[in-house]
Amino acid sequence: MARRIASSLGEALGRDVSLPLLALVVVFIAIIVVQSSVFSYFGIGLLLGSAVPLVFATIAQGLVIGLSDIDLGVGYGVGLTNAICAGILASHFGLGLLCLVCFVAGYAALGALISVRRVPAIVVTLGASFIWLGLGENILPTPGGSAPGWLATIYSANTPLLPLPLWLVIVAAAAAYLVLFRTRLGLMLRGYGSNQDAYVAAGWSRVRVRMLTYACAAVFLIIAGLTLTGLTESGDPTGSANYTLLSVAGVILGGGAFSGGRISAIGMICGALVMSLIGSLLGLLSIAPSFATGAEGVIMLAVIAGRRFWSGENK
Amino acid sequence: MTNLRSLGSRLARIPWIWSALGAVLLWLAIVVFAHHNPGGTITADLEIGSFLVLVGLGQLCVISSGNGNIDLSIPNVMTLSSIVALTVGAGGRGSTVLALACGLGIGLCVATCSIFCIFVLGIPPFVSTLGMGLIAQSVVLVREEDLRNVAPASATQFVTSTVFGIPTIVLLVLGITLLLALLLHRTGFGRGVFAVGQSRRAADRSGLRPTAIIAGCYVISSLLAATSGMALAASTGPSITLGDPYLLISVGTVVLGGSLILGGRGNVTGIWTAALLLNLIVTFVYVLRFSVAVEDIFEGAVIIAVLSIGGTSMSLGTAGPRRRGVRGTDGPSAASGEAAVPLATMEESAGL
Repeated sequence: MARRIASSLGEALGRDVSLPLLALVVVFIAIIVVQSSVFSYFGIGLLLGSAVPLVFATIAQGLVIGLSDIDLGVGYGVGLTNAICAGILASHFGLGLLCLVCFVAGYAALGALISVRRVPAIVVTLGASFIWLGLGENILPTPGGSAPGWLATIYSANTPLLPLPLWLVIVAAAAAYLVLFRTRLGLMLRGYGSNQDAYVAAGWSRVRVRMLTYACAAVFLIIAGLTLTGLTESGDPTGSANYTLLSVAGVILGGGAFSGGRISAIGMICGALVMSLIGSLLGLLSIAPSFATGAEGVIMLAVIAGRRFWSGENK
Repeated sequence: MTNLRSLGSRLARIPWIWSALGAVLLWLAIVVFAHHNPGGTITADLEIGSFLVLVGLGQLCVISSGNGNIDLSIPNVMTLSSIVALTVGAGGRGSTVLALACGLGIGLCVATCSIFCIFVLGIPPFVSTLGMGLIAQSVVLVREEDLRNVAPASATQFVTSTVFGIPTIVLLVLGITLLLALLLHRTGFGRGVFAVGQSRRAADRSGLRPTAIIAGCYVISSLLAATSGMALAASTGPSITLGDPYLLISVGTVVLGGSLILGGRGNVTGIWTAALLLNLIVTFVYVLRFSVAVEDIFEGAVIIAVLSIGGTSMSLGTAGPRRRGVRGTDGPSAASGEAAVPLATMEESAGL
């Protein structure tokens, strides 16, 4: 039993997880040094609250990158689900639910299209991102709307022991781990990403794995949209545009590789948290936003450059 | 009949045919539905499209060198070099030559930093260029007050002038396109770009210098982005978000034009047809008086439609060397821009 738990933990942590974890700890300690009041129930809640949507978006991106694809529609995809949640779900629950189901179906269709027509995912998802943006703007021409009552209730709740955002991050980690290492889809996804020839030669369908992965990614994007709606209590189709590139950086920071197959649940969540917390840290240091953008770039490059030297040392 | 069929299949194998077909259909639709002047529509869209062609050509060079190379710093290079050039030029009071040189210098500077990150620090190109873009953007934000400077009247006049009814900028970009086509298809460097894009290892073994070739591609891309940014600022006025729309659409232009996202095969003609297609979409939606939201949906739908109709012929069909490449015959491997960034290659490139 203990052995099984240990091996599960090993899987959950995956390779290359030590660096993103270390980066997260360093950024977190830096934040506490700058502003010690952060280290409290409400402080951590506030700090992590804004990071939670990006965490779920990064999981979605991680699944797609695991296939050795890339999803350029993550930002506007979250924007669309955010708009659906704030603009439709709040007033017409059934219709909103239907829209979200259609969103998942749309993603699955994209996956099928990429496999069947053998077209580059990077441009198909780019085209799709315009569609998500347009649909989002149709639902909410100007940022606004409101969070559904139940979502607002959940978000204002004081959860026991840990603040809600921290619970959500833990749920995200568990969900990503379960999907990747405890389901057939996870097995297919990692196998396909590692060696497509072997995967196809084994008689498995490449259309199915992509459809399922994209549908699963869409579900995580919906959760990202829901948490964003809960956080901001409104909808904005363009507000999360920078999630596309932040999520890619988060996955790579977390030990993922563009070549696919290499994926770590905990790693990419740490990566997403680092990307999000760097912004908070620079804000706390009261660095002007104009400089913060560049500092963010430098830190991102430094951490990812460090990853190579780190793994080189471990060899 | 057989002749017709063989002609059809030969046409279908031209990589840029699908974007050209889409552009022609949209152009006809605009002329028929909105009774627009056929020639005027084309020249107007070519004029706006030429800025996209410039950055598309640069992106084409970078993507053609394969190995996951991509330039995401293009929009920020455009904005930064335009602002620097305008500041140095100081509304016509400074030296125009110096202003242009400084703008191009910014491009060179960003390219050098990206190359350093990719080859010395071993950071994947996607992240390297993205990070450099953020840093360039930061400089733009810090120097925001320089936006007061506008381009000298002579520059604006030059960019917006016409020669025999054809916008000067289109002729200029056409000239640059021809030069680049010669560079890519008639010189050792160009053959090197495609060789490295097809197999870096093979290119290395056959005595080419992949690092120098890829570095050259990034320099070309940044210089073209700087040129495009400066011309755009002279034409439409400076803006802090000048280059932003060009980030991902430059990649879209390359792929819609029938060049391989994995590298190793590319054509400059496709950049023109794709840029024209993308601008005709905007014109089409505009003349039909649809909202911006509908425009976005339509643009996305056309991109996906052109890709899925072109399908394998665009991503794999005529790519001989790719057919039985390391990654096998599987189409979806071509479906991912970054598939070709095995860490081994990255380490190799870093000289480990």
